[in-house]
Amino acid sequence: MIQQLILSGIIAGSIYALIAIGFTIIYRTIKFFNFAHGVVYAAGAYLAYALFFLLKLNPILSFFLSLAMAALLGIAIDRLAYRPLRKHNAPSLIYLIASFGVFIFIQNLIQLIFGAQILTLRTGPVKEGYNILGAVITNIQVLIIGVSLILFFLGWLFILKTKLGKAIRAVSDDPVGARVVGINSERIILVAFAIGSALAGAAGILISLETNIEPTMGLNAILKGIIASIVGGVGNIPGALFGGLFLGLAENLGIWKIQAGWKDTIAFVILIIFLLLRPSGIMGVKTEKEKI
Amino acid sequence: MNKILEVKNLSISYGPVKALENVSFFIEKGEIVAVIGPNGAGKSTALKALCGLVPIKRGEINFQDENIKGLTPNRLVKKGLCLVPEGRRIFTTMSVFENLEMGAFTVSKNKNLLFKERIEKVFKLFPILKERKRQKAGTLSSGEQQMLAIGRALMLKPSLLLLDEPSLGLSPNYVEAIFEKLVEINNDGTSILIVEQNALKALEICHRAYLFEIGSIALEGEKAALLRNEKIKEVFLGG
Ligand SMILES: Nc1ncnc2c1ncn2[C@@H]1O[C@H](COP(=O)(O)OP(=O)(O)OP(=O)(O)O)[C@@H](O)[C@H]1O
Ligand SMILES: [Mg+2]
Repeated sequence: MIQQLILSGIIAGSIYALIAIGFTIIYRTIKFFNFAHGVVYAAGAYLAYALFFLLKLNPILSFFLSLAMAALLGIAIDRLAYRPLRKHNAPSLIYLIASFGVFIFIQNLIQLIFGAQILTLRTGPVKEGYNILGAVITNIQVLIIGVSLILFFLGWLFILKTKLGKAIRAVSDDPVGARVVGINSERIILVAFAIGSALAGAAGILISLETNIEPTMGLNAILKGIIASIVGGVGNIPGALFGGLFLGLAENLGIWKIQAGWKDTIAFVILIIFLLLRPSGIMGVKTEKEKI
Repeated sequence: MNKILEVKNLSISYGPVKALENVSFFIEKGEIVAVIGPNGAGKSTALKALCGLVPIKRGEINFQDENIKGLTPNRLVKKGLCLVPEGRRIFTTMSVFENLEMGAFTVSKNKNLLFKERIEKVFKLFPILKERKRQKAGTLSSGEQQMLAIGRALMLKPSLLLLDEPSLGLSPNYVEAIFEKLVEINNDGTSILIVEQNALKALEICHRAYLFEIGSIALEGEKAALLRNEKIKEVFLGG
């Protein structure tokens, strides 16, 4: 029993981590909570569904095409919703409201196109799994964990090692400093949206191999992604991995002795505990007072 | 000698606030020019206008015989006009090395070769940066951070280096060290425009200087003349 719960925790956790890293990469450049990230996750699942079941493309191709389209969706969101606000130096609350607006708009659009009924990316019956240390794990579950962790590390490597990844960190650290060395922060923001949104789309697709797709799936996802980010320290990439796995495991182990319906409650209790006791997260540094 | 930079009748406003009104100045190739003046005189605004950080209302800016008015910072750094901004503005969570890499962000032709050449030069000028290259920039001392900010600008191999109050918040030893390095950079062929509160230090190393006063230029001249000027003596050099 406990082994199975740990496995479920790791599956949920790696998905949360993948949502959180995309959220983090975007957050680094725009410095507000982009709730619309959740609807990009949902859109990823629906895009894969459309490409695979409706256009009958090959599954691998469907996956990567969906990621590319999720990236474009992220870029479009920034261009159409946030960039005009930046031009007007809007206060941060406005961005938050805009991101909710985008979320609701796209969620309704999905519902309009695909209907409100539940869909699935699963094909065929669930196969018998392997037995590992007392937990039963299926091929699909191995795939979900493996691909999400690989994508997570690719995202991390991108931020750490590539020129554009470093430019994202530079814009995040000091936008004025970035401008004076000739970095065009508008372009860097688009790169962050593209990469971050592709990762969100991937998370949406991966989870849909195991669970159902529905238009409202993005809300829970973004809330969990944000909680994972806060647990790990907002803006911190290893923190996103830690926070995601911590949250996934806590939710699933928490329901060992209580009903499964309490999962979300556990997540929110964790959120409140962290906001009260350690708002900077596990790996976050408290913002240092300026040195004189 | 010919002028590397010539600014004519520059006017800049922030909304209704006039920051500069009809200001003209120039820098000759190879010069160090200092700009001094009280708080709010518009010194930083002038530098920001030169690097495309604030929109220009009226006026003309010629850099190396080319009209550069209205160009983006990205274009200007490629032309060799680089700013070391007020407050240093380094990337605090990134390593010293990565900060220097970001300095060379816009370099695309012969990238690796130029990068190696330039970073070696920066390390030679500021050996401490080489020692600290793996360290997070935010953990450097203020003086080291200023060296990094200058080093980062030098990664663009500017022909004109603009500095906004490089001595701000530094201990006297570091101020001394930084100004020595500026002279070294200048001897290497880089023209320099420096805005400073520390008027004495700035006048010491400059060839010529301008005194800004609430949006306009009150005085200008060669170093020796300004050092003898009664007004400058009284206000900036302590009588
Ligand atoms: N972003 C801004 N918005 C509105 N007004 C501004 C802005 N930046 C500067 N100003 C105003 O423009 C004038 C010139 O400012 P500037 O920063 O250029 O002065 P400074 O000579 O650099 O002063 P300091 O010695 O304090 O650095 C000041 O009156 C200032 O209040
Ligand atoms: Mg200033």
